[in-house]
Amino acid sequence: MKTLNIRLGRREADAIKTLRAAGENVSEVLREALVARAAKKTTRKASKAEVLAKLDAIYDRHPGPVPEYIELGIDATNRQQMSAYIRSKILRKRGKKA
Amino acid sequence: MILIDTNVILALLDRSDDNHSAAREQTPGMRESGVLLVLPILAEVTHFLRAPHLYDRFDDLLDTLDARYEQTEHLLSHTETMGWLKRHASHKPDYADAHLVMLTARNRKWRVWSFDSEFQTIWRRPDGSAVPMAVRR
Repeated sequence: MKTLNIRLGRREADAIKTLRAAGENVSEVLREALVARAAKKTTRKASKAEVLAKLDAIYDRHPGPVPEYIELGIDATNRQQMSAYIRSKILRKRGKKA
Repeated sequence: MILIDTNVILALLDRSDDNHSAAREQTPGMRESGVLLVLPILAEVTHFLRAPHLYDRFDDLLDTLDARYEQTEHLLSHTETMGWLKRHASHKPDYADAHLVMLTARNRKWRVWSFDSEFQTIWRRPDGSAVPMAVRR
């Protein structure tokens, strides 16, 4: 089994005191945190075909009308058009609340 | 790590989007590199959902991409982002653009996945270098 030496600042040292006072196993807390953080950095394995099939299934699973922004002809790669659309949504929402 | 932009998410949300085919083809490769959804992009996207089926598609899309959400260690200081916005003020950038560019400045291996050409033609990182793109057009 490998060991890990970590330099601790005041904040971390205080946290360890608190955890120990609460009866927690600090080593276990660190092990769990390491594994959880590593899991967030790892992408689940899937082939290109699997990814595309999963993607294509989304539209059949959740059918619905064409989104409003497409119907309005908003070009999602045009920042000015996008900003204007978002602004209109925010203003309309505020207008309704007023 | 790949920073996904709003226009890519919108392209993947509906087949009738002009960029859907391109985004679809790029998806497996991007997924493998690790896709990160940052909060300003999430906030932008929600303005375009506004219908239950689009929220459901968005949920499934994030699962398909195996996307990670922005964590506190990625957060930029307000000063950093505002400084960039001020420097580019004549081009009227928005906050999401600033956030993506500044994240690539802090994390040199991260790339932006976007169909917005301004990342290649206008925006620069604080040191003057080009924004690294996941796909060049």
